[in-house]
Parts: sequence; C-alpha cells; structure tokens
Amino acid sequence: MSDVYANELTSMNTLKAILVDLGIPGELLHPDTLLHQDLRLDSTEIVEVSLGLKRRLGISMKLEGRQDLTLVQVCDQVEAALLASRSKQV
Amino acid sequence: MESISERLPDGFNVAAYFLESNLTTGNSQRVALFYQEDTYTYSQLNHFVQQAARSLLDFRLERENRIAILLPDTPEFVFAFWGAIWIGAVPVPINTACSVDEVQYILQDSRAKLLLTTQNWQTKLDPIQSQFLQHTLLRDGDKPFLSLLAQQPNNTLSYTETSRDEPAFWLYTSGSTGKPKGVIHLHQSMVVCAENYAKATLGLRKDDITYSVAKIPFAYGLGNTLYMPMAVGAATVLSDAMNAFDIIADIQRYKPTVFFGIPSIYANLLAVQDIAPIDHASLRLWVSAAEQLPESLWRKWREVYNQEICEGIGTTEFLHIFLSNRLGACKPGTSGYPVPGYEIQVVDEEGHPCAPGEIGDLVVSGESLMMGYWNRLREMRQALYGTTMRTGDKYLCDAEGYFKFMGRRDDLFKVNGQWVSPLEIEDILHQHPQVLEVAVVPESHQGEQITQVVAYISLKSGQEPSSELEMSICQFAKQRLSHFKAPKTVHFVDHLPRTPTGKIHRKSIGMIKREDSVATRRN
Repeated sequence: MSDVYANELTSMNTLKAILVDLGIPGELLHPDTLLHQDLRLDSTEIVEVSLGLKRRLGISMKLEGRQDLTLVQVCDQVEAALLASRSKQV
Repeated sequence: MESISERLPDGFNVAAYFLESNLTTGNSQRVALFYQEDTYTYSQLNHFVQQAARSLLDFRLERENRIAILLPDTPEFVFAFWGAIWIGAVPVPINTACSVDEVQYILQDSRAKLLLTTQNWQTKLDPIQSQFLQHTLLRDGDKPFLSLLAQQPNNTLSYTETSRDEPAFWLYTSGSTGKPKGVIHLHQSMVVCAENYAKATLGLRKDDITYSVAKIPFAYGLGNTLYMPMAVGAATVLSDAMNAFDIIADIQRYKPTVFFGIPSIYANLLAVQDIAPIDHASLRLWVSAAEQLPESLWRKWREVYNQEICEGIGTTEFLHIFLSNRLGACKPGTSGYPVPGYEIQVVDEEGHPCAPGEIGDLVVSGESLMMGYWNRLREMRQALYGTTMRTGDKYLCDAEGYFKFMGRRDDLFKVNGQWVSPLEIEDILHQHPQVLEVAVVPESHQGEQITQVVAYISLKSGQEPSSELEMSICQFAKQRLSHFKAPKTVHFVDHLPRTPTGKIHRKSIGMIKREDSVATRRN
C-alpha cells in the first residue's frame, strides 16, 4: 500500500470515528457526504470535529462552515495539514 | 421614571424615525451595513428602504398587513423589514433554522399576505398551506428582490403616519406547548430599548461596528444588528457565519468593536483558541445573553483575553435586555442589575418581594413590553398585568442588587440560546423500540457548565443498559431532532419519579440516587 493511500485511509477512518463518537450513525458516512447538508452538523459539532482531529492527528484545522465540505474534502485538508506539519519537522 | 414613549409624538413611524435621524445628523455617508464585499451607507439604506416600500405596495401590501421574511441576515432582509414599516405594514421575521412545519405554522398563524424568502426555502415549503398568502418574493432566482427595487422610480416616497402605539412588527418565540407564539411589538418599542440599553447601558456610539451571533429574527439579534446601531449612527455586520471559525474570520475581516455573543459560542471560541486565536484588538465590548453564562466560562475568557463579558438577560416579550452587568462592575454568574427604565423584582407566590438571597419569580416592568401575544389570550393574561410581566424565570437578588438565574417555573430550558421543550425530545425518544419511559432535563452542574440535554430512561422488560444502547438512543435522537436538542448523556434508571397523579416529576429527577442509575457519559 502506498503512503499516500495509507494516509488517506487513516484520515478517513479518523474522521469517521470522530463523527461516530458525536452520535452520527456510521452508515451515513460516505466520502461524498456533506457535513451540513447531509449530516446537519451544528456549530458546536464542527468545533468537536476540529478538536478531535487535533487530539488524534495533532493538526490544527479551521473548519469554516460557509462552504459545505464532503468528508473527502475534509480529508484532503487533513492531508495537506499533515504534510505541512511533517515538512516543518524536517 | 421618565417615560420614553411619551416623549415621542402620537404620529410616529419608527422606520422614518431611525432613517431620517441619521440623514439629518450628518451620518448620510457613514457606513450602516457591511455585507460580504458590499457596504451600504445610511443614504443608500434610506434609498433602498423606500424602493422596497414601493415594491411591497406594488404587491398590494397595505397598512397593517403582515409580510413574512424568511431570510438569512442579508441587505434584502433589512430593506424589506424597514420598507414594510415605512408603509405601515408589519414585518414578521422567521428564523431560517426553523423546521418546515414551524414555518408553515407561522405563515398560517400570522396570516402573512407576502413572503420574502429564497428559492431553496420556496422548494422546501411547496406547497405552502396558508390560504392567506398571496405572493412569494425571492431573494434569488430569475427575479431577485433587489432587481424589483432597481425598477422603482427614484423620487421620495412619503412614509405612512402610523401611531407610536400601533403594531410595527412581530417576532415568534417558542411556546410551552411547542407551537411558536407571535409577539406583537409597537412602533415605540425599539426606541425604548435603544435608549435604555444601547445608549444608557452599553454606551453604544457612532464609531462602533456591531457584530451579532444571534440572527435578526431573534429579539436579541434584531436589536444588536438592526435598530441599536441605527439609533446611534453606528455600523453593523450582516454575518453569514456558520460556526466559531467563521466568526473568528469575520472578526479579522470587519474589525467589529462590539460583539454580541451567546454562551455556547463563547465556549466554542475558547475551545479553538489554539487552532484559531481571535484577533481581538478592535473589540471594546463583549456581550452575552440568551441564556446563563457559566461563571467558569466568564473567568476563563478574562484569563485568556483580559476582557470582561457583559452578561445580561432579556425576553422576546420585552424585546431586548433588561438586566445587565456593566463593564468594570461585572459579577460573573449573575445577569447583573436592572437596565434604566425597568423595574425588576423577585417575588414570592403571593407577589410579595423576596428578601435578598431568597429565590422567587422574576417580575419585570418596562415600556418595551409587548402589546400581547397573537391569538393567545389565556397565556397573555396569565403573564401580564399592566406593564408588568412574570417572565417564568426563578431568580434571586443578592445583597448587592445583582440578579442570579436559578431556573424556570415551567419545564422549558435553553440550549445554544434557543428554547427547548423537553416534551418534544421525550416524544422522539419514546419512539425508540427499547425505551419504556423517559424524562429529559437540562444539566449544567449548578450553572458551572454550558447547559446540556440529559435523558433519564427506563427500559422495556428484558432490555439491559449498555453503552451500545446509549449510542443507539443518541443516534436515534440526532436523526430526528436538531442536533443541539439531542441528549448528550443518557442515564438508565429502574423507574422515573412520578407525581401522585402519575405524571413524571421532572423537578425531582436530579435527586435520583446515583446507585439507582446506570450512568454512562459520552464525550
């Protein structure tokens, strides 16, 4: 398995785990699921997602809400943040 | 106490009062509204309001007719609201966070003749059930509302000579029975709140830029965004923020000087301070209302940002805040002391004033009190006598004159600044296949934390409590309710306490002994 694919899988699994912890049924979570339109996450839940990503992956992500994001779009941002934090470490 | 309303002339139109007072005091070219990339000066605002008024006349909106405005905070909302009042019509703002059923109910109950909304909402409401509605105008689509305004002639339109004592607008508030209640306010009401709170309490001034988390259809948001800045020639931000990160970006962008928040947003802003710190250099005043701000949150905010939060409390019935802390004299964990123009007491069951520190009912007198509830005579007569209202809140007043919230007379409570009826949540949880009986209560650990929804549940025969079952119940609720109403915690109990008549005794649920419950806490 390539590193990129493994990272994507990790990000998606982490994001799904955070959402399930928030009480969102796992069967609703697909790559193209939208945070607001489909999952109806409220402002406090969005903050919980961001804090969960920081806790589990050590990244700081500002999940602004004006543009609704799919799970895969959030994972793309997670990947970019992880890459940025790794390059800082190097 | 000097009357503000009696200083106003009998013939009085509040839209003309606020708009013309800015044009005649040199504020024409000052910014009134910030919205995304656009700004509107007071002169432009006056122009668009009159164009909106003409457009509404074209659709045969007449004096005393209602127009429902179901929009996010946008310039179109502002133009239509003041434009309706300009011609003596009555705007009825509706919160876009309402459910389709709630909006259908409000359209029917208010008998609105016009609706201004979006294409998206029009689709969701189709077919609109109210037989009173004659036209729906849209903010977007082929014929957007602004394009209708642009077609109007540019000459001045005289305002309608209304009375200070006649209805100017309605706001809908949650009722204890679950159906929203129409609260009727007069042309004088906004002036009273602007004088008493914005000017005399906050010291709002011309160079301020206000930013409100609460949206315009809430009484708190209406004042913060719509009329209090106008009362002093200040500017306001019409925000489309969806969460704490958007708010932080807005503060960076618009540099507001006065921030009107609610406790849950302050908690969120603190929670993400390491991820997105606030650039707060522009802000001179932080305000909180809509529900009790926990003392621990107030202290944490001061520790992190070295600024006090001025907490206050008001009701839709009084239009805005009547108890408030003051900068430099804040007492965290309290709602502060009376705003000028309001007489406030804590009384016992017989209506006698309580001694300091004694818990009783909050009764408030003031000129901004609503004219009444629409078509709710019994509830109105129970709540009002003269200019006085029992708010339904339990309070105490301490020896220094600060008022402290101690709970509600009824079962309603607030989460995220919004009223919640436990009955609505219980009805949903009863539908879960393993739930036998349920009682929903708010818990805030003696006011030390943000209020959370907690469910006490007994299970059907043969069912055993487990963390999986708790998860299943929470998910069940989230799929059927606004997420802030879904329980964060479930306590499984053998049985629920009941009154002699067999009703669940919600007030004594907090006294259920720990060993009687199988408690599992999530997050």
